[in-house]
Parts: sequence; C-alpha cells; structure tokens
Amino acid sequence: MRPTFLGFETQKRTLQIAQKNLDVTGNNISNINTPGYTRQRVDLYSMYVSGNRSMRWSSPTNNLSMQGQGVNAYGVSQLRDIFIDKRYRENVAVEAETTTKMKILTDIEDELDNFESDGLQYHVQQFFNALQDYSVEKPDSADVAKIVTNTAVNLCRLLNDYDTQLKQIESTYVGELTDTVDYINKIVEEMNVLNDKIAKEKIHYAEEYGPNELYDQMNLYIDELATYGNIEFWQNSNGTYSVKMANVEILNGEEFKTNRLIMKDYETNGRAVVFFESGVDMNLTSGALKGYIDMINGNGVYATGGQNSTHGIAYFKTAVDEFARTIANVFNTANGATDDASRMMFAPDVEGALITAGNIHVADAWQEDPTMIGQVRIYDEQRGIYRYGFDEKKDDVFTGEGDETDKDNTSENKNLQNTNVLYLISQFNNKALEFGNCHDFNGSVYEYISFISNRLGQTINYENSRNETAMMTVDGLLDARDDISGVQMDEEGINMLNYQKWYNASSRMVTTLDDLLDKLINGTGRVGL
Amino acid sequence: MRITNPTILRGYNRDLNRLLTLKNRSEKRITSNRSFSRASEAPLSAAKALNVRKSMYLSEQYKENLKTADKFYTEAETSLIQVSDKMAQIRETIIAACNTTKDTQDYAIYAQQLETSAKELCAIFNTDSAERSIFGGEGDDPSPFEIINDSSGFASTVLYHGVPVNAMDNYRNFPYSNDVLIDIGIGMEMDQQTQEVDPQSTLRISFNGAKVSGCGTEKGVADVDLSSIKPNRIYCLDVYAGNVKKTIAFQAQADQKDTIDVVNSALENAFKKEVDDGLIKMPKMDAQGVISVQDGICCVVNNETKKTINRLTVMKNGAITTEKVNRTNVAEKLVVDNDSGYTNKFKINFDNLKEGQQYTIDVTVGDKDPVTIVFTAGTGDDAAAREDATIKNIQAALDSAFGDDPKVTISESEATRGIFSTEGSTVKVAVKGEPINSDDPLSPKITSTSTMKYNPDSFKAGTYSFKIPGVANPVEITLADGDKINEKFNAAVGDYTMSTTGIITKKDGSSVTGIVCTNTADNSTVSSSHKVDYSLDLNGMVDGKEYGVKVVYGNSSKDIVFTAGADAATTKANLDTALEKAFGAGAIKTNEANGVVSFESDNDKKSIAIATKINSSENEIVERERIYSNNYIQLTLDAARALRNGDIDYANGCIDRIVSANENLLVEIADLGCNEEFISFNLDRITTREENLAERQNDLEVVDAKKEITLWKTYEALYNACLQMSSSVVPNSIFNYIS
Repeated sequence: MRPTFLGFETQKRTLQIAQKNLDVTGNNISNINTPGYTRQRVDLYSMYVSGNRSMRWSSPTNNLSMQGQGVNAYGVSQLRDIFIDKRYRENVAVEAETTTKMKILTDIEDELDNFESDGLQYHVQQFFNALQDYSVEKPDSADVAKIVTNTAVNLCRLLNDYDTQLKQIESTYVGELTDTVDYINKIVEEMNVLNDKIAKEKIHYAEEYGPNELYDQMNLYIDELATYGNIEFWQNSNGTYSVKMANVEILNGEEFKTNRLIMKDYETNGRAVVFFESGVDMNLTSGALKGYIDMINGNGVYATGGQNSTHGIAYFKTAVDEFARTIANVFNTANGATDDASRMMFAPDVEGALITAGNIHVADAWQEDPTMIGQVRIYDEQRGIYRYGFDEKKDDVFTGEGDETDKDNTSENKNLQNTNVLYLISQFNNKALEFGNCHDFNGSVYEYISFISNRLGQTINYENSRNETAMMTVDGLLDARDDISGVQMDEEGINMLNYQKWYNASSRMVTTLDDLLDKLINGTGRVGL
Repeated sequence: MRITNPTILRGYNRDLNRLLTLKNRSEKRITSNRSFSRASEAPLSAAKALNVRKSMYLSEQYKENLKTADKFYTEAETSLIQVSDKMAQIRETIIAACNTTKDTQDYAIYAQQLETSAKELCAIFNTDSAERSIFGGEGDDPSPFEIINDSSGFASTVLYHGVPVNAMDNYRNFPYSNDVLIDIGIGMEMDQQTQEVDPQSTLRISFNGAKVSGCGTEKGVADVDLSSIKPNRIYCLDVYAGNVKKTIAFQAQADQKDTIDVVNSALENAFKKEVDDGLIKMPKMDAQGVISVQDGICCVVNNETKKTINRLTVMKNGAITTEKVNRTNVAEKLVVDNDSGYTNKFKINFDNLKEGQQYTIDVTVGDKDPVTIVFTAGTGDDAAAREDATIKNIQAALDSAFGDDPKVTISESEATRGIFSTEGSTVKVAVKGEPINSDDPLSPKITSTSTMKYNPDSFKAGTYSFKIPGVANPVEITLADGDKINEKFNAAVGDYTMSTTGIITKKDGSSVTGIVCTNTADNSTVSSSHKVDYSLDLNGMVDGKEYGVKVVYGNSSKDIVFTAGADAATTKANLDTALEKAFGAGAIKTNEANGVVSFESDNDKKSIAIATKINSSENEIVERERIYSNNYIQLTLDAARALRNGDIDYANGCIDRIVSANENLLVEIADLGCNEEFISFNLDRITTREENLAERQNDLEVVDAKKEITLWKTYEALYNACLQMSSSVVPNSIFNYIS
C-alpha cells in the first residue's frame, strides 16, 4: 500500500532537483564568457521504485503502491562533441603551421626585398651598367674602371649582408623553436598534474560523470597543444586523458607518465632536430613546431641528411650562396682566372675557401688595379696560353737560337680594345649558367634573381592560402563547437523561468499534500464538525 | 544553429579585424603608390615587374651608350666634312700652283700653303670626343697623327701612332687598329671561345685613322743610306713587307757589300715563314741600299720605338752568334728614306714603248746640263725579253754618253726595273719636249649637301638653346604646350629652315652641320641625325664617253659605269639602267632637273653617288718613279715637296689622287651617315620601348588610384559601420524582458 508520506518525499526531491537545475542554469549563465567552459545539463529521470510484491498494497494485478515517485537526476553532464574537437584540433595545427611559416618567410622576404629597397637586381644592374659605361671608355682609364670595382664591392657587401641577416633570422627562429619545445614540455607536465587530480576526483562520480570543470581545463590544454603539432587524444576509464603527438604518446593518463620533447644543440648539429625522451624521432605532419623545423631545415633540392625539401631559411641561404659562387665563378672564368689566379675578380675571405655569400669580396688584385678587367686577352702562340695586357701583340726581334723565354716585352704600343669588358658584359646574357650543382636552376643571372624572388613570393603565397583555408575551417569549427557546447542566454533564461515555475508547482504540491494530510488527520472521524 | 554570445563576438571581432586589415592594406597601397610591396602579395606581377625593371635598366643604359656613340659619330662626320672641304681647297691650291705660275718663289709659297693645309688636316684628324681621339682607333693618344720634318725643316712625313702612314697598305696592321665595339642592345653576339664579337650585333665607336685618311702607297721601296752605316755597329730595322712587319738586327761590316749580304741574310731568316707560306715574296736589299719585294710594298723605318732588347743575334760573316746586349747602347739611327711619296727617281715606262721604235730622252745628272740620248725599244717574244733588250740598249746609250763620269745606270732588278740612278747624285730624265697635260674629261661632277634632322616629338614644353655655326650667341627658343618647334625655330633663326618633320636646311642651299641643341631644363643634348644628299651634274658630259660613279646604297658600294648621251634625258636613262643592274629594279630612283640628277632610295637606306675615274691613258714613255701615298695628308705634303722641287707633273698627279681620296672620304661619310641613321633609329626605338616599359611598369607596380581609393572608401565606410554596430553586438536576451 501507498506510504502515507510518499508524496512529501517525492516533492522534496522535486524541489531539490528543480533547485539543482536552477543552480546549473545559473552556473551556465555565470560561465558564459569563461574560456573552455562547456555547457552543463542535469540529467533527469523519472523515479521508479521496484515493484516488489511484498509491499502490502500491491495486488497481483497491479503495482500501485510505489508508483508516482517523481523525478530524480543521474548527475550533471557536459554537452560536448568529440568529433568537432578532433576536427578543430587537426585544423588549428595547420593554421599554426602556416602562420609560423609565413612569419619566417616574410622575414626572409623583408631581407631579400627587390621592390621597396635596392636589392640584388638593382646592384647586379649597377654592376652591369658600370661595365657598359666602362666599355664605352678606354679600358685603361682607371677612374671609370674604379666605378666598376665599386659597384662590384657594393654587390659583394649586399651579399655579405644577406648572409648576415639570414643567419640572424635563422638564429632567431632556432631560439623560438627551443622556447616552443620547452613550453610544450611545460604544458604536458601541467596536464599530467591535472590528470592526477581528475583521477582522484573521478572515483567520487558515477561512471559516466566526472569533474566537469577539470575536464574543461584539460580540453583547454589539449586545444593549445594541438597548435604545436598533430595530436591524437582519448579519455581513459579513470577519467584522465592520454595524448599522442606525431603518433608518439606524450601523455599517458593511466600511468601518469609524460614523454618530454628534446631538442639537440643546433650549433653542433647544424640543423633543427627534435626527438622524444623515449628515443623516438619526431615526425610531425602539421603544427607550429613543424613550421619551425621545416623552415629551419628546409633546403629545397640541396637538402642533405636530416634536412627537408621545403624552401626555408636553409634554402634561401644556399640560394644566395649559390648566386655568389656562380657570379664569382662566371666572372673569374671569363676574366681568365682559370689559367692565372691573379685574374680573379671575386675571391673568398680566406684563400682557397669555397665562395659563399658571407665571404665573397672583390679580389685584392682587382681592387688594386681596377683596369685589370679591361686588359685584352691575347693568345700567346709560343706558350700556348692566353695572356692579358694592354700591350700590342709583339713582333719579336729575330733572335736565331736565342732563349725562348727571354723576350723583349717592352712594347710601347697599347691594345686598348674593349673586348674583355664586352666579354664580361656578355656573361649577363649567358643563359646556360648552372646555379648550384643540384639542377635547381639553369639560366642567366637576371633570371636567377627573378627565380629566387618568385620562389619566395610563391611559397609565401601558397602558405598564405593554406593559412586562410585553415582559418576559415577553424572559425567554422569554433562556431560548431559553440553550437553544441556554448551557453545561449535566451535558452538559459527560458530554462530559468521553466525551472522556477517547476519549483513553484512543486511547492504548491507540498501545500496540497499538507491539506490532504490535514483533512485526514484533523478532519477524519469527526463527522458533522 | 545555436548562436551564442561568444559566437557573435568572435565573428564580430574577426570581421572587424579583417576590415581593418583590408583598409590598412589599401591605405598602404595608396600612400606608397605601389600595388604591392612584397613579391608574395602578387607573385605573378612581381615576376613580371622584375623583368620590366631589368628591361628598363637596360634600355636606359643602351640609350646612354647610343647617345655617346651618336655624339661620336656626329663629331666624326663634322670632322670629315671639314676634311672634305679642306681637300677641295688643297686641290684648288695645287691646280692653281700647276696652272698659273712657273716661278720657283711662287711654288714655295704654294708649297707653304699646302704644308699649312696638311697641318690643318692633321689637326682635324686629331679631334677628340670626350677625351677620346675620334680617328685614333682604340688607342688613347690624344694626337694619333703627327707630322715630322725632314732634315731641311720642311714637313715631310705623316705618322699615325708613330708609324709612317705609307708603311703598310693594310690599315689593320697599324697600331690600335682594332675596332672598339659597344653593346647597344641589339643582341650582342660573342664567341665564348675566341671572345670575338660579331660586329653586326654591336656598334663600332672607333675609327681607324689610317683607314679614313688612307695608308700605304701605290708602290713603294725603301732606301737605306749605306753611307750612314758604320762598321761593327749593331742596327735594328722594322721592315714592313706586304702586310708583315718584322724587326731585324744586323751588325754592319767593313765592306758595304758584306753589310748588304748580312742584311739580306737577316731578312731571309726573318721572313722565311711568311715567304714559305706564300704570303709575300722575299724582301731584298740591292747594291744601292734599296729594300724591296718583287711585287709588293716594302718599307723600312728606323727602329726607334723599341728601347731595349735583351738578346740579339749578331751575324758575323754570315755566321750566327748570340750575344747579350742592350740595344740602347748599340742601336744607332740609320738614315732611311722611306720613299714615302714624292721621290726623284725616273724610270722608263715599258708599257708605252713600241717595239723597235726609236726614242729620244734628256738625261740630267745633278746640276749638269741635260744630255740627250737616243735608244731603240727592244724586241722579243714576250714583255720580259723586250724589257731586257730595251734596258740593254738604254744602258749602252748611257754608257756612250756619260762613260764613268759619272756612271749612270738603269736598273734591271725586278722591283726597281727601268729606274735611272747614279752614285752620289740625282738623275732626271725627260722626254724631249713638254709632257701632255690635260684635264681628264671623264670624271663626273658630284656635289653634296648635308642636312640635319631633329625628331619634332623630342621637343616638349620648355626652353631649348640652339648653338648654330656662324651665329655668335646661342638662339634660345621657348616652347609652350602645343607650340611647334619648326615654326618657332623658323621665326628665330633667319638663315635656316626647319621643316615640319624636323629637317633643317640652309636657305642658300649649302650644307648644314654642327647645330647643337640643348634642353636648358636639364642641359641634355637633343639628339639629331645627319643626312648627306648627293647629286650628279650631267652638264658638260661628252656624248658617247663612259663615265664612272661609285654608288653606295645601304651597306653596299658599287662602281656604276654609264655612257653619256646626247642630252640629259638619255644620259639619265643610261644611268638608271646601270643602277638597276647593280642594285635591282626600283632600289634607287634618280630625279633630274636642269641636268642635275639627285638620288632617292626605296627606303630609309641612304644612297649616294661618288665620282670615280674610269680610264685615262697617257702615252708617255718616261715617267718619274713616282710613289703616291694613299694618305691624303701625306699626299698634300708630297705635293708641297714636289712644288718646291719644281716637279709639276708629280703635283698634277696629286690632284687626281686627292679627288679620288675625296671620293673615298665621301664613302666614309656616307657610311657614317648610315650608322647615324641606325643610331637615330635605335634611339627612337629605345625611347618608344622605354615608354611602353614605363606604361607596363605602371600597370604592374603602380596602384590604380581610382580603383584603390574607391576600395579604401568602401573599407572605411564598412569599418565605421561595423564600429557603430558595436554597441548592439551583444544582443538583448530574454533577461531584458523578464522581471
């Protein structure tokens, strides 16, 4: 049979549940602007009490005694879509990667600029123009020849500066990479601590519920981690989270273990190498970390062990080096340095070193004698070599059996043709120059400048469009996330009104029950009173 | 979709930021006037822009190069026109000298005039343009031409870069005879192996003075004064044979004959290779000290230019020994008569002798009275046999007339065949009676007028200063927008007329040269081109005679021979037929007015006509051994020398040669004209190109202001509107309405 005060118990629970619903509504409204907050909900269910026949009011045909027990709640749950989270984290990694790449490439572009400041094209052109002016003048006029030398000095200085600036950029971003690695380790460490808290809290909850606020905090961490690399994540049965970065577990929620990232010393290694404490190499497919590593190690076709084929700082450094080296080789060879090293126009700082953008400079011999490049190439039949000079081809005095090497070379006649200068000029039109030994580019000097500028521009442009696409997707996913997890003011307002009315109704029920009992207790049996 | 406050705010912020970025980018484009500042903003435009910039830089440079070349060519042309005028004057002087006087005193005055003229010519040829001698080849000597005096103080020899102009007949063998070519952006081609430039792909900015003024002689031998050689001393000689130059060293011997053997031995050793290769015939020194080759030019100059020599081979008695000596200590100056130009040698003209006929000639030795001898022209099967017989007969006649007092000989050797000589004195030979002297009627009269042309489009609003030869102060012309330069010019300058197309002519019909126009705004010279028009005077031509003209059409030069008709029309028809045959139908048109024919080509190529002599036959049996220089400065000096010596025949010979030299000069001027037109054409082309490039650069790099400002205004308005919205971005909710 129905217990006398059954209704009171039911209404008490109803009042409490209604109150809890108002609490959660209030909590939702309070946290409407809290980052990472996920909308919460009280999971209600209609009370059901076991229909045991031992209850006396029950009959074989019905089970009335325990019916109508009102409402109860399982717990407070979060409204979250794990698939949106997953997609968001995938795309935010791409966005971060492209942003990082663009930042670095734009820095490079600022240095290798040809449009807003006098860049490589301008200085090469100055060199060309000076040679042209020189070709019109007499080749032994030192003043005009000096202008050619000066323009070449400026060209070398620009290349030296390019080298310094690119190294500076490299060093800046190696520093940023190091800091990023440290920061990731810090986040993972904090997540590990949070996992511990979650596990300790979780034991107080039913299986499907847990510490919502701690989960929110954890998800914020995961969101942040996702910007650095491609990650996978899952929730363990103890409520903790485990995370894999680049397919390697960096956070283990079951064993409360972390797998730190370690960066090898850049200076000794010559490239950016990041690996896991567990000894595994890191192989990222996206994320800011990948952006840094790609840009620092990206050496295009010149990539050797550990480097990659992206066009990053290393590539543009090599490209500028190759430019310096090719310019030096072309003009040195054209000026006859193959046979006579003193005819070198461009030389490295240290004799015998490989010419790079960093060490290229105008050879001392040319600095000292600017007209050296104006000397005419003459074939010395007797020695079978080319020699250079302003002296006219000599008709040697007939010397019979005289010593071949002992010649009268003191001719007063000068050969003042400009053929060597024209030959140097013609090198600018040589379309068969090979820049780098990896078939990166074959063409003329100008074409190479254009090629590098274009490659840089195109790379940035490509990363930019990737970035924009990722940003659009990320924005869309954030909206989608709000769609599920965000707090909607009107909705909460309606809920509040609803729960309030519910509470009122429930209170009213208590009054009714009270009236019923009053009738029963005070009015029953007193007929006529 | 549930719209939450964070969704709204995030979207609002994002859009606001995007608008600000767009607005900022647009502002930057407007303030910098660039459609992009980084290649990455517009990779395709940037790649194109780099190319356009390169082309612009190149055009600018090529324009500079062309301007330099233009100046060079203008000055060269001006100089050559001056030379041409001067040569006409020289010709007049020689004609006057030959025709109007017989007085030695007067000859000396004429000779003096000629010397002065020669020096003036020399000065013109030494003109420089921007410190570079125009006619000095690639050399840097400011005065490539030099006149040196003979022992009596008269100007005698013209040197080009220190080498007598007569020394070589190939101008390329003179010092600094290489071409200086510049890149003017017409696709310079260079052999990467030999560094040889294809001249077609460049522009030449050097003129070989030896080529322009002429070099070599019609014939030449060189005399070494054997009496100046001292025994046992070592001498060096530069020997030019054909086009080969060698330096020989020899030690003089006690006996003159031995010295000659030593010299010949040295010559054989020096020229062996060239002779074996068949390039030249072996030069030899004969008993009189004359060095010659059998069929070419041989000339000897003192080897003074070479100061030191480390090793010399001294030949003693024909044996070769080496000895280390310093030439400055031992090399002595030899007295060498290069026979450049006029010489006092007389020879028999075998060609005009008739077999078996008797001839009478006067032979004068030194200051003695003339001795008349009679000889019979030899007979024989071939020319050589006839010549041998004639020489034998003349020698016999000379021997019987003079005996050994002094011994007069006629040379048998190939180079000096038929020349009369005697030791220690001069021999003059003349045919009995006066030589026939007549004007050659077969040289047509050619006149030339030069005009200048400015491109009227190159005159924009501004002030221009015209320097006009013969007008003391520069004429300043100020142009406003819409003013025509030719109208202003014609109003300001009286003697000249400028046509609407910019061609300047002189009202009296004479040549126009040397006008320089400067833009006072930036002091730049406005480029101009020259054009020389030639006309042929048919008046006075003899019916049925053949006349010759040399016609240059574009790059080709051809000799045209035509027969004069009874009237101008017939002659013109004959001329037209000859021109058509040479250059093809319609290439050159002729216009005739009052018997004067002007030429017109089918396109911009220039056509000119230059007189050339076709034939002339003088029937003289004795002629001076005359060496006429191909160089007209030298020729002028030689004419002066001949006048001083009273050799009118030689001077007369110079007249024809000066005329023909002038013809060559006109070819050079025509060549310059063609090049100037080419420069002018290229300058115009580059200017047009520059304009196109600037436009293209504008399209690629400069912001489209109208479009951009509209965009910017749009962004600004949108941004402001967005900001205005900010107060209601966070929407009202149900809470605003419940109480």
